[in-house]
Parts: sequence; C-alpha cells; structure tokens
Amino acid sequence: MLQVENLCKSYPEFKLQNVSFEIPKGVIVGFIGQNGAGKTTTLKCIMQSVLPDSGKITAFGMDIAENEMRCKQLISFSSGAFEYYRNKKLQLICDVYKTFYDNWNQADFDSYAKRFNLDMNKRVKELSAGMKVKFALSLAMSHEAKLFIFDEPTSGLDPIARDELLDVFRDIVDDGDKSILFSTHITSDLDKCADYVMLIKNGQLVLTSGKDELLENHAVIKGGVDELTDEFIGRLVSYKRHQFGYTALIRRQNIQSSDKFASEKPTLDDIMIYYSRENG
Amino acid sequence: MLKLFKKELRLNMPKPVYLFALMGAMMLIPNYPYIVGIGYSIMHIMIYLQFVNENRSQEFSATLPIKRADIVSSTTLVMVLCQMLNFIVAVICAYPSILINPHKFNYVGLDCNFAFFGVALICLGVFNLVVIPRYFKTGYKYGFTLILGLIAFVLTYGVFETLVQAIPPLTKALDSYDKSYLWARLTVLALGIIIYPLFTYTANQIAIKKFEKVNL
Repeated sequence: MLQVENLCKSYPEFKLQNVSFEIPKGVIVGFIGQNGAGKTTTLKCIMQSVLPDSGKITAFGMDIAENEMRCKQLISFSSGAFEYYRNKKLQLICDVYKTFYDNWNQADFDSYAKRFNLDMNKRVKELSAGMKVKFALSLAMSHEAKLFIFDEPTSGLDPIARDELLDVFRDIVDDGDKSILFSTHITSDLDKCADYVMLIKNGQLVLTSGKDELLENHAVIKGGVDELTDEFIGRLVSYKRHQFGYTALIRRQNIQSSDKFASEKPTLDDIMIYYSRENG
Repeated sequence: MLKLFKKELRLNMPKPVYLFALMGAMMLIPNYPYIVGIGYSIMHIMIYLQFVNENRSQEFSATLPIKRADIVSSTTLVMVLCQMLNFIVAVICAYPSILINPHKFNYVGLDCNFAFFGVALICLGVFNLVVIPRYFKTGYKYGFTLILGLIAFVLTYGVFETLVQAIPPLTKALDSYDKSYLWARLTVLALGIIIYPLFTYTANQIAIKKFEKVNL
C-alpha cells in the first residue's frame, strides 16, 4: 500500500536519513520516537508538504510525487488538532473541504460528528483541544480513503475519547483493505491497537517490527554494576545505571547462557525509552 | 484550481473586506491623484494575505488532493479579483467624476481618461510581477514584499506621470480629453490591457517554480 525507500531530508539542524519502510494492507502501524526525532517530517514528506531531498515514496503502486492528486484522494491526513480557520464555523469548513474529494461520504461524516458530539455551528476557536482533534479526524475519515496517516491523533484527548478513537481505528482496518500509520508518544495507544511499530531516532529508523514480536524478542534485565563490562554493554540496546545496579534492555538473541541477570518482558515504553537513549 | 479559488474566497476573505473595492470611488474626488484609489487594492491584498497566514491556509491546502501549483494560481486569482473589483469601481466612477469636476481637468495627476486606466493596469502588472514571485519564495512572508510591490507601483506611476508632465506633446495627448488624441490614449489603454495579464501570468509562473521548493 505504501513504500518509502531511502527517504532523506536535510535541514540545517536536523537530518532525516535513509528512512525506508513498507505498510501492507489491513494493518495499523504505530510510529514512535522522541520529539524532534523525525516523525512529523517523515509524514509530511509522504504528504509532499515537505519535499524530500532524495528517496522514493510509492502509494498504491504510484509514485506519489508524480501522482499527488490521485494519491491524496486515497490518503487521509490529519495532523493532530484542527488548527486552521479559527474564526470559521465547522459546517462551512466541512462544506468547503468535501468539494475536494470525489468519494466524500456525508453519512460517514454525520455519523462521526454524532459519535464525537461535534456541534457544527461552533467556530473552530470555540472547540476544546480534544474536540479539534475529533473534528480533524471526522473530516479525514469521511472521504473513503485507503490509507490513513495521522500525526499525534490522540494527543489532547481524554482517556475515554482516546479509547473510543482507537476502537474506530480498529473498525477502519477490520475489512483488511485499509491501513493506518500514526505517530504517537502515548505507547499505551500502541498496546491497544498497533500491529506494527516503527521507532525513529535522530532521523534514522532504528526499529521496524511486529508489536508482539518486538516484545517477545527483547527483555528488560536488572543486575549489579560489576556486571557492566565493555563486552556486556556492547550486547545491550542501552542501560540505566542507578544506586543499586543497572536496568537495561537487551535483544533476547544477545542473551548468553552464562548470563545471571533477572529478566522480564518489556513494555512498549521500555522499548521506546531504551532505544532512544544515547548510550544505545 | 477553481475549487481552491472558491475555498480562498469562502475561508480567507471575510465579506466586509470587499468594501475596499469601493475605494475605487475616490475617482469622484475632484483634483485628486486618482491612482491612490486604485492603489487601495494593495490594502485589500494585504488583508487577504494576513488571513491566509492567520488561518495557516497554505498548510491546510497542501493536505488536499490538489496540485501545489494550484495553491499559487488560486492566490494569484484572488489578488487579481481584489485589483479588478477596485478597478471596475474606478472605471464606473470615471464618467461621473468628469461631470462633477468643476475644472473638468485634474490638476494633481493624470486626467481620468483611457490613458490613466492603461497606466493603472501597467502599474498593477508591475506590482504583481514584484509581489507574487517574492511572496511564494516562502508562502507566508508578505510584509516587506508588499512594501516592495508598493514602491514598484508608485515608481512606475511616477515615471509615467513625470514623462507626461515633462514632455508637452505627451501632456497634450495623454493628460487631456482632446478627441484628436483619443488614439494615443486608447493605445496606452491597450498597452495596459496587454501588459497586466502578461506580467501577472509571468509572475504566477515564476511563483509556481519557487513554491515547488517550499516546505510547508
């Protein structure tokens, strides 16, 4: 459905380097990383809002740079809260927005608007942060797109709305024909609905894996400081030293039979934190 | 592109702003530099661009299924609309202006004749040539760009006005209502009718190339 190959983009203070990944049909992919790691730049490159220096992006078998209009009919993009046209009413924005889409589905939009309690006579500036997110998503999910790209869709939402939204995400991909790529800081969102996880660090994709595989293939380990030899540190993803010893993340394939540390299954938070640490 | 143009009008152009077009009626003030009334369209454009920025409109448009070039063309078209609304009001007021002017002739600038409107179109064309490509180098910085455009607009008019006042045959032909020189005034008008769309089209094409490289 979406292939990104060797995507590069340089800014004076930041570089996106050779980002490559593929999104198959019918999956939800969570895109995680620290602030400024390159998540939004990657997503904006896919949407052509930011123009890559090099690399190729193919969506639905078409080069997105050459078939931008056709691809964008099939891709839905939402960048968090709806922060445009603050003084305009939701109804007017919706009326204008739908004119751009060949397959606008008013029934879908009305159903999301009802589900999210959107008052279409309100102006954007009158909405809470969460309602702005819901409005943005309602628009994005109502033109029968095949690929949904959401940048931080759950930030600003309360836990109930977040849970509801993640259910909507699952409903979208249930027919096996649509996929979702979304960036987030909230790893519990991934726990609930992601099939795959991608982690970006300093502009480089350091991890792409199935979520369950990822958790099975890593372990959080704990031990004494005296175990932290150079050879041992070399086998770790990264570690934290504390008063009584260390805590670290290790790939299970790097565990040796002679190792004596206590290990436990990691959470996605552990994966994100340890992969993002600089001693990794 | 038409959809995007309509979007601009519906989301970035509050209706009261159209009242700026009425500034074209400054033609009715006797003995007045009529170009000032035409120049008010620059204010109209400034307010439009301010709304574009405030609404993060370019960023929003970039997510829609449109060509990037259409963002440029629709903005250019809105600017042309601002200028032409103002221009049409000025044209409508031209004849009453002559009728109500006690001296018939304008003592502080070109008379309100065909040549004046030709010169006004050339000035607007030059304004567009300066402003549109420079604005789309970033897609949001419009302040200094509009000042440069205004300077170009005023200088262009200043050159015409100076030439017309300094060269007596030109004064006689262009700053008058003398029917024997109607052809000369119509020639200037024709020049304006050719130059305005030509400069605006060229400006739009240059802007499209520049905007292709902008990260939104």
